[in-house]
Amino acid sequence: MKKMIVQTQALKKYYHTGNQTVKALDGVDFEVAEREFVSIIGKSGSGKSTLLHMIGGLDTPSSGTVVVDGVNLEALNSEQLALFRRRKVGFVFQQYNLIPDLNVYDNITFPLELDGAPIDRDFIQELLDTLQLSDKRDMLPAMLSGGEQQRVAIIRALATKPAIILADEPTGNLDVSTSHDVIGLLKILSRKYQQTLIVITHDSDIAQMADRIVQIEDGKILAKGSDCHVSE
Amino acid sequence: MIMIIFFASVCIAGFALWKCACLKHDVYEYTAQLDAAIDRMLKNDALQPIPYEKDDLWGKIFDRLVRLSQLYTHKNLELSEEKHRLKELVSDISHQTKTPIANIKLYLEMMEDERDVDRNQDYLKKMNGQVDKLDFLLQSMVKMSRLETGTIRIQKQHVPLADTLAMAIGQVVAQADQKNIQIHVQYDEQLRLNHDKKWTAEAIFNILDNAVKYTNAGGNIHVVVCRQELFTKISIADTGKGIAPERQATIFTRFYREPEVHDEEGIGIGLYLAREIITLQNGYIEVQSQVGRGSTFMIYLPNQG
Repeated sequence: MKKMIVQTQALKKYYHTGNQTVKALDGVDFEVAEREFVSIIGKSGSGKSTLLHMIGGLDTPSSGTVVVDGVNLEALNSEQLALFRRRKVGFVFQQYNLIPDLNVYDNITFPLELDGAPIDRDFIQELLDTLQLSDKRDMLPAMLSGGEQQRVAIIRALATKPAIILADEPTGNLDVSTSHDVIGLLKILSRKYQQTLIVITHDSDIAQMADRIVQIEDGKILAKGSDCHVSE
Repeated sequence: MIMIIFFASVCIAGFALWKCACLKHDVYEYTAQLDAAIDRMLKNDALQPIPYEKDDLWGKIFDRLVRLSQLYTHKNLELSEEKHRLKELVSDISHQTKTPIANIKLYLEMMEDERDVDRNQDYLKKMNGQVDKLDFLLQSMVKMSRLETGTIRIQKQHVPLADTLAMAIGQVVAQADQKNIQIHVQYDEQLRLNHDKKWTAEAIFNILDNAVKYTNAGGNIHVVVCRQELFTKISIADTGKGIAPERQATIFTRFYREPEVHDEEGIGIGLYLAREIITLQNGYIEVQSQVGRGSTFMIYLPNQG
């Protein structure tokens, strides 16, 4: 029996604009096992980002529960949620969000320093080596290509050694072959460090790289078995 | 004046003592908690995560301990499962060796009574087949011993990938010829890559070997090498029977065998070994396949490192 690290039950998120109610998530039951690599695929506006934000404690549901690694996120206040995000989750977004005035290495260690966490220099060097950025550690983000910047963002997410990595369209701004390489790296690293990886994408080729594909449409997860044939 | 200074110093000293006592208490409490947690782990008791109460050192360390405990439990489970599977496999193989030995014995007895030369030739041929089977089983045993962790020692060298490919393809050419399968190779002769030649060749061979095995006579195998931004991709495409989607993730697991080939030769470690070898070099393997149309295995090896 596999242990589930993420479990959502009847998860709903409604937004109210005027008289209209937008159902971003409409009853999502979703589970991810420890060390699994799951890709969530769906059109824009299907609710996939909302789901990821709920799992990452960035947003609160209208109803339903999210349990991550045995802790019900509903029971946490905003301070505790911040701690949860800091300790448990690593985020990678479409925008790299690097600080332009800091070089590659400082961009990676900056969040650690803010947290007052000890900096494992050997580990960061290992990540730089694996992501083939060792010779660029003193460069500023502006001097790097998009793919390289995203790799820096990945190292930054991994530097805190999180149990779960949540990536929201991490390759949205990259070309096809670089996208593939970047997801490949995420896959290698998450396996190496025994992490759970959830990647949101609209690209079925990228989604295919996961252990399992979950398709979401209009705030609902499509019936199982859809992981065999993914339509655009 | 002196009185004031005296009074102030007493206050400061008192405060320092009190602070010291508090610190001591904190350290003791921290150590006691740490001790209790480690004790539970030593007793094989899985630690349960606690809600994120306070942003303190203990919370941080406990979180790490929980993660350690989870990994430890997982590893234990994995090990015991593997032990079980290995046991099954060993008994399976030893059982399988009985048949060829019994057959050889039978043919020998028959040959003793048989005077006809042609018939004896026939028996010899059959015996040869049985010896091949035995040989295969023993080879499998040897291969299995490679699975012991630490047997695969990666020694990377900056050498042409073409040599590695040649080494792997050389080992399957004979079988491919037998089945009239053509192997087409497309690569850049100048391409050099920091990789372990011997083990990488073994990984490629294992995939090619499968490709030949599962492709019908007259089929094709395409090997293409292409250099991407971060990885060099070696894709091996066959026109074989393909792999059902629900099995594509499991084919890399140890001792996995396609259900319909259970009576064919094989113990199901080729792909597992291939993946291990590539993972140890910080690369990865992928598969794309359609039932009835063939499979493509893609090996990705890092350009740097």
